[in-house]
Amino acid sequence: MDVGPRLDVKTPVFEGPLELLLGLVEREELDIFKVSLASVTDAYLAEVASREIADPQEMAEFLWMAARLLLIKSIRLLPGEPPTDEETDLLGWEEEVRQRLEEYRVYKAMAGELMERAQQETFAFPPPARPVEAGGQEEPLEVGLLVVAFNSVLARIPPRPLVVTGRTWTLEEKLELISERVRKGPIELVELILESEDRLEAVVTFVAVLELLRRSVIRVRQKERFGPIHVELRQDAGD
Amino acid sequence: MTEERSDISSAVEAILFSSNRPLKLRELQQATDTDRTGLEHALEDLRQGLEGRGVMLMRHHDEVHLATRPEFASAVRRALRPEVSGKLSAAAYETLAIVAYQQPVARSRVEDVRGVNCESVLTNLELRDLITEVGRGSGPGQPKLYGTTMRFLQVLGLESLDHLPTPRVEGPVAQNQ
Repeated sequence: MDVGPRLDVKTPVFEGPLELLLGLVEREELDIFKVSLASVTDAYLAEVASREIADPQEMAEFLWMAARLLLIKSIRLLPGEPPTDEETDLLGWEEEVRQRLEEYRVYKAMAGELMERAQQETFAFPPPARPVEAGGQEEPLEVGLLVVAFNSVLARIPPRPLVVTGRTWTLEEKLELISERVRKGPIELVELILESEDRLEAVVTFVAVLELLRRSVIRVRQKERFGPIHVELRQDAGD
Repeated sequence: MTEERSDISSAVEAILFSSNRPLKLRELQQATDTDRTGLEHALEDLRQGLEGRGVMLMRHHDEVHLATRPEFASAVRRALRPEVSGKLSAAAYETLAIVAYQQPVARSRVEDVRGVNCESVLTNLELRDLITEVGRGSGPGQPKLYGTTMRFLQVLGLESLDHLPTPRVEGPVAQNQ
């Protein structure tokens, strides 16, 4: 194999202001309940400025949080003055954000545990052993039916309203990924497509499946009409 | 453990072994002609009887099923090469965690915690049969309430929701003032 170790440069992707704020607090190792959120204002502004946020509504949410952080910071910079009502409200808001950050942090940790569990091959298989019998299934599917199935899944993937990501997939990457996956066992087509983060990725995945079919690397089968479509490695496609 | 109860427990085992879907407690009561208490005892006997075995009794609310123990998942995989289930994104795990620990929970609550729109993630989890609508909220518009499914337990290899890892609330954050 001539594929050397690939350099994986990943910038964390933040889905919303809350996640960004939590990311910053954790990066700076700050105690949410002990420091003012104003102390991450500069870092927050820098992060927002360095990101391309296409969705105007999403941009507004990031900016709204930025505006509040700046306000808090300005209040803290001018001590001595008794707080006005508006400022008292703002300090109350800060407390609320702290609570929300803490709650979010707990669930994020739980999510991490669930993910770890799922990755340790902890699946509990119910009977019957498995629905897929590699042999004995009906003849290979026509591509036309595949397209019908794909369109029905695509229609069910809503466009992601909040996307802050520079990740794009090339066909080559998907070809490699899917080949790798089917080598380990059959995959259900709809499940595979649903892994997509957005519609563009879903399309690239589907095109990659068609391309692998054309190259006779994989085979697709379906037991009954509208039933699950199974993608598997062609036995004669080397190994 | 009485003779009779053990028979019921074995009957339940046989039914679950041959069923390709989870069974409701009510269905098992009818099939074994037992009342709820008797069935619960039988299930407990079965659960204990299966300790240390390759399969376990899995329970999700009022449904039960048999499933292989997660410790042997890789052996099952090697033997049967079953389908590899799709990977979930980090956002999906966050959403799944909130639903699992807060169920029944409305979308608005999930969005409160995550601070972002969660419609597409919830739809995705629903299509994968990891969560499902379990009722309607009493608030305006009677929002859909989500809960986990038996498949959720299978994917994570959990005997029941009681076996979910306990949330760690401590950490770098001091809880006291």
